[in-house]
Amino acid sequence: MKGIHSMSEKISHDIGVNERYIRERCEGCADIIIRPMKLGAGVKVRCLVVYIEVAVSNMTLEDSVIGKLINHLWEIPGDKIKEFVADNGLGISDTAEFTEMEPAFKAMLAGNAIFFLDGYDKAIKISSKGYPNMGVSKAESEKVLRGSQEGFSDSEKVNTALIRKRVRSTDLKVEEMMIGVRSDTMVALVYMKELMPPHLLTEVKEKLENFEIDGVLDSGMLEQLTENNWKSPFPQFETTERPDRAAMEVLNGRMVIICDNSPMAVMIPTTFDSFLKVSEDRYNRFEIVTFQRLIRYVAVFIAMGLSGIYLAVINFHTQVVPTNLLLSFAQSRRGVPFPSMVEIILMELAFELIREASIRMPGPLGGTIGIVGGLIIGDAAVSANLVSPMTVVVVAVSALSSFAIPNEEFSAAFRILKFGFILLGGLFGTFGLVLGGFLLLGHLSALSSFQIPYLIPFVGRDKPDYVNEGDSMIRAPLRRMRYRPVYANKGQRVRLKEKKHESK
Amino acid sequence: MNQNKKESTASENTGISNRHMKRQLVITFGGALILLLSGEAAGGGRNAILGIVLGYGVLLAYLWILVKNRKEIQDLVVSGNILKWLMRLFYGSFLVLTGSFLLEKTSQITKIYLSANMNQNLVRILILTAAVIGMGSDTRKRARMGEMAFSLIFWGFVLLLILSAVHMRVPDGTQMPPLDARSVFFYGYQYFCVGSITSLYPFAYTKIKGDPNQTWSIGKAWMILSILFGATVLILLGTYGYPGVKSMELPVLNLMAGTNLPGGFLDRFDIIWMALLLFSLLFSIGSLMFYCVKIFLPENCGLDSEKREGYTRGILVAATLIIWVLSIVNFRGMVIEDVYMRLLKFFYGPLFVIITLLAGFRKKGDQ
Repeated sequence: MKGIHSMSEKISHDIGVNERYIRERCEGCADIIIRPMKLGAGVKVRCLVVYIEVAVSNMTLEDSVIGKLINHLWEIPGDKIKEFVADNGLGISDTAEFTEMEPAFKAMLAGNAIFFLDGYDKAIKISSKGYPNMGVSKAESEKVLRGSQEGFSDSEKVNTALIRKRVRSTDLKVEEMMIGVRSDTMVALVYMKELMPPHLLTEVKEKLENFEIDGVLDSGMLEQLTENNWKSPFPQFETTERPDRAAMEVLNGRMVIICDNSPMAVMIPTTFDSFLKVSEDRYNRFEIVTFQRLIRYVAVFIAMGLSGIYLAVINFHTQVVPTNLLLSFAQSRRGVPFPSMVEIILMELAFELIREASIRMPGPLGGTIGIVGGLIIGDAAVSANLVSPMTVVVVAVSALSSFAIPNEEFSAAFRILKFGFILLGGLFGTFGLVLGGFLLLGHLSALSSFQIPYLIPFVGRDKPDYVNEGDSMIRAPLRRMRYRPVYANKGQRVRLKEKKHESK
Repeated sequence: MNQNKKESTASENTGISNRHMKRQLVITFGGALILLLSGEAAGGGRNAILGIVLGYGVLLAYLWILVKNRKEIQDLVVSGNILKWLMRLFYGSFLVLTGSFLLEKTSQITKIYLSANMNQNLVRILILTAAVIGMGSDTRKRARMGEMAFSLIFWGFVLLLILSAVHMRVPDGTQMPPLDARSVFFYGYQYFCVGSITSLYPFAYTKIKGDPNQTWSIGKAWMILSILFGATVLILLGTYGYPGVKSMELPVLNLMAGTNLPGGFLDRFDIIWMALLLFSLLFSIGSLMFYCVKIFLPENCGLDSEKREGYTRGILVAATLIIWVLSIVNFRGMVIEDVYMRLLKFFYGPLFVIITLLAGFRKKGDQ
């Protein structure tokens, strides 16, 4: 796919030629302001400023960089302007010179003002505040009790700054690249040069350069386009909207990919285990963190399998449960017209509907939907004998467990698989569940993220470069978490060491 | 910061190790040994116990020869126009016969204990489909599956044995057949023949890190298996007595049904052991099809990845179909389970040993 203006024009000495080209190219773009001016004391020199209206809204104000430049140009003689710009134009702010139209246009479309001067065959980019964005706000989808409340914003520059704020080292590298033939979306690769294995950078760049697309509007599109096993329901990229988590992972030797216009940073490589960690796991004591992690693992199992196991037990293996419980199951199902599998599927679908509706509904109404769905529909369905109370309990516990999984994309994979296990458990009992478990294990074993097996650290513990970082299902005390994960660069595994003070 | 003492790149984490191999062996053979052979071995009383020890000893010696000659065995399926096809046919036929035997047994047990109302043919098809899709033909994937499932299955079996052991009494020796060298040899030979199936391993593992430890790794796997198997036989004899075991077809299933969890919050949980056994058997059946690919499409066969993928699919589909057909064939009243053990003991087992020894002689001749 070729860009619309892939042939770049040279910037002319004659500002008239430049203006004609710009006006022709920007025809129909009402938001792009092309403002010719005559500047200079005495002999006037023709100048031209091109910018996007909202992105550079304050340019006439005294405190804007370009405003100050123009005001200054009023005061110096016209024949000195060219010399002044050539000598000082780049010294005033974040500016750049272009000799061709294409990069100048790219800079303008990125939210900067472009300044042309008659008799000068270069354009000058003068940065401005850029496009409007939401700014730094609270992280909504990864809430924590302890730790920073800051969340990523929509701006790539702001997001990289939020990481830099936490890792103030020149070893933290930020490589920018443009993706999207028409959207020209800025994507930043953030990593610690010393800690990240070098092959990761090459591999990521190769993958990003492997496709041409019209526009990338969110990091989610990058994820899907660069995943190895794109048919898998399991995400092979981990996302976060928390700068502290991103900074922590950069220090672990991972790479963080930030996409402009997306408040979600993508972290690679990714493992099954890393999806069950949250940023405050490092800030709290190891006993409670270990307990919470075990709960999350159990939640994964329940979210995926509870409904299927329930069906297998009540349809095929009633001998497993004690008689009293079995009688209670049977009593609760009295009068329900549907087979238990249909009942469970209906309730699970109802839950998914409620979930979808509450996400799409405006703020206060979202909560209301949850109450209406949970209490009224559940209670009414039981009263109307459409479902049994036990089914409601099973579906509710399964739903609760899916919410306990910290990462939404990861949780979604289990929500989808749950329906498979419902069918297997309902139709074939334990036999079906074992078949499903075998297939799932086979699938997960085949997955890898940038050469790191998805199931590490449960597999690959005997590899020569494996060291127990003490940060898996069981989290070691912080003093014992001395090593970085297996994906960190070789020779840079030590994260923590005690300083030896000689006693005098 | 100090450099870590263990240094290498993260990408090396995708390799196969001796630990992987050991774990895979335990899972592949564990379920089949405990479910299908423990009852018969318990029927041999003390002779069978001694036979297992003898069988393990001989097997260990054989494994040493096998590991030494593994490269020559690998070459058998790629060198010479006639020889390679003869070898492929020999190993391939063994794989599909074993697959159909295991499939038949697994489907029978599943139908009886897990899905009584289901058509057995449907059970067979489901087992085969799950085994072939779940396992695939990727060596590293199988290694990771084995590593993940090992703890679950191994500790599951150990827990079963511990919970069953509380019901044990000292077996009454007078009810058992007396110690007899011929019987000991018979059970030892039978155990060795099952162990000789390990002869297939060189085809799958052309690159195992830590080569010098391979004999010990495989030996350790068989030691774990022998201990599990021997313990199961002992517990069966202690729990049901010699006459009791003789009267049961698959006494290990009764053993499972008889275990109780402290606290009694579940009435019966033999379903959990059944699930573990089924998982292990799925791994075994999947492994057989995995080996079909490795034998008919060796690593060094010189095909590009696209063609290789196509052939792999073809081999897997063909193996699946043949295994399924063989599991349902009834020839003059004989089904696969009637002939399989005889075939293993009197044809495949000895030939595995002969081929390994010949490969060794060939190596010496070349030197």
